[in-house]
Amino acid sequence: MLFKRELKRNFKSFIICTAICSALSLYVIALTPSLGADMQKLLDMKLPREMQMAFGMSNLNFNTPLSVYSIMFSYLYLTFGIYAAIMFAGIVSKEFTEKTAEYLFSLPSNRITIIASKLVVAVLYLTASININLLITWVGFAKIIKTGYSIEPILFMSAGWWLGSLFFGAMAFLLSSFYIKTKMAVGLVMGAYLLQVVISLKEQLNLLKYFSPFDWFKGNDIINAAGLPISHSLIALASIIICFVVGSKRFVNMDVLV
Amino acid sequence: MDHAIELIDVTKFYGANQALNKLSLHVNQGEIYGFIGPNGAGKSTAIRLMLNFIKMQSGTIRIMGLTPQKDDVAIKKQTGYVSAETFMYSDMRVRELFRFTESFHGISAPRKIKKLTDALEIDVNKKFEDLSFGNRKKVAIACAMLHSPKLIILDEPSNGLDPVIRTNLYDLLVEEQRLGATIFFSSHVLTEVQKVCTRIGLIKSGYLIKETTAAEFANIGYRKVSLETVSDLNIATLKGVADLQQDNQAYRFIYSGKADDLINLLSTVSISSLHIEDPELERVFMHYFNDNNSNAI
Repeated sequence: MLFKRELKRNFKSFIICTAICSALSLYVIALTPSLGADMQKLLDMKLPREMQMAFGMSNLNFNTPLSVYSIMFSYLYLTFGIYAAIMFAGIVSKEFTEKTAEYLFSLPSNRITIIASKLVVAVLYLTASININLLITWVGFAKIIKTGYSIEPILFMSAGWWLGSLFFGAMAFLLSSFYIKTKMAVGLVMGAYLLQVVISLKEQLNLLKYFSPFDWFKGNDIINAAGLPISHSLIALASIIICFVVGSKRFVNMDVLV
Repeated sequence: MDHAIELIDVTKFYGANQALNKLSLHVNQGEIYGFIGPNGAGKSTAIRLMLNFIKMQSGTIRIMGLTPQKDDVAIKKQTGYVSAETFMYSDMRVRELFRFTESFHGISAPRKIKKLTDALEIDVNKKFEDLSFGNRKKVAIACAMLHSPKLIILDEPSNGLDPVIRTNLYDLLVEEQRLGATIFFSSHVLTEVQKVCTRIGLIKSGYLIKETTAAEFANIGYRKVSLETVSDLNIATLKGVADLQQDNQAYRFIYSGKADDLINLLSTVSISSLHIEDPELERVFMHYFNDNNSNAI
């Protein structure tokens, strides 16, 4: 019943995020045939080289439909990241801010079971949202682009979004066990995005890439390497596990005071 | 036989503030125990410790022979709890809240729910957010009792309830007790604990001042008297008068002497108004506090 309730409670934000991301994906795919090779000229006209660097567009080539689509990578990453961070930040902490924790924890269930059920719902929604976007992208490519592309890079990009967004979600979940305000979740993702912008402008800051989740996964790199970077994926995975374990432990031991 | 509730030397600090100071009490199985004290006395803290919502610094708590920290789920299976401030899921309808609560207990209790909703006059189709404070309280009480728990813990349950529903609640509690439930009832209203409780514990500033039976408690031996006379009255000479306040021919005082003596004196003058009431909670505490002249019983 708690599982069902959490599904219902988080359904609206799931629909909004999925609709936005899928619409953006379809829009870019629909533009691809008309833009194609002219995309670089258009970019150079509209954006100075520094700005392209800042938004991770400097190394893009627009010879293939996939590379055009990869422009969207950072924007969808940002959107999924914000969605995940807000959802995970509130999934347990809302019980405390809305003062329903006393009622919920007076029911006969382990706190860890309650927290785990909530986290499973959040992971499911994030996964579903990214998969629906993947499906719509795939259909878009099949119907609009038709030939000259491979689905594999799109799969890897989706895996990158999933891992990166889940990292933001896990971080927001952990932070919410210290500071119960969901606004900080948006700040966390936007801060990370700004860090990536700063790093891309200053070569001396290259080492910071290991601390910048938006640098862990980049659309063009995924297409060129035909896979996810192993080291960054491992960093993300380890961070996710640590954040979930520590955050859950903190919520299990948290005083319930209305 | 195990006590339903047993607290031994329980101490709890919130930062530097001591909320409970070596609180010890026990509640026998099958009794209705009234836990009374002014706001901030430590009533809710004691209850939260019993339900493992917070952690204590030292002491021992046993609920039906079980330890809250270790046997959290086992205790909550047998316990119903109503918090002082009622917060439940505002987007849910009352019947959904009942179903939600039932699902955790792994039961379906339509008959019990019907009985509770009838007695407390609950509209199950309304959303929780649309309910008044009193109606929210009623829903919380029904949720706490729908699984027929062995132990019912109520923190200020009658707050916001109208007198009719309050009486129905007392009847429900007495019936649950008759069926074997133990009831732990926190309040700051003297008359309601006197009405339903078999034993009463008085808590102030985190320690238990007195444990007494309801009968003994009702007979603490003094009353608050307010009267107005048409001519002067020398009330100060009467034995047992304390805290006398006089404004012309209006008198207010605490009386612990013989009723006959008071009536004899009052019969000598013409009286325009007379009120004899229970003393306020704080005054009762002072009474026990002075009697015991110590920090704990």
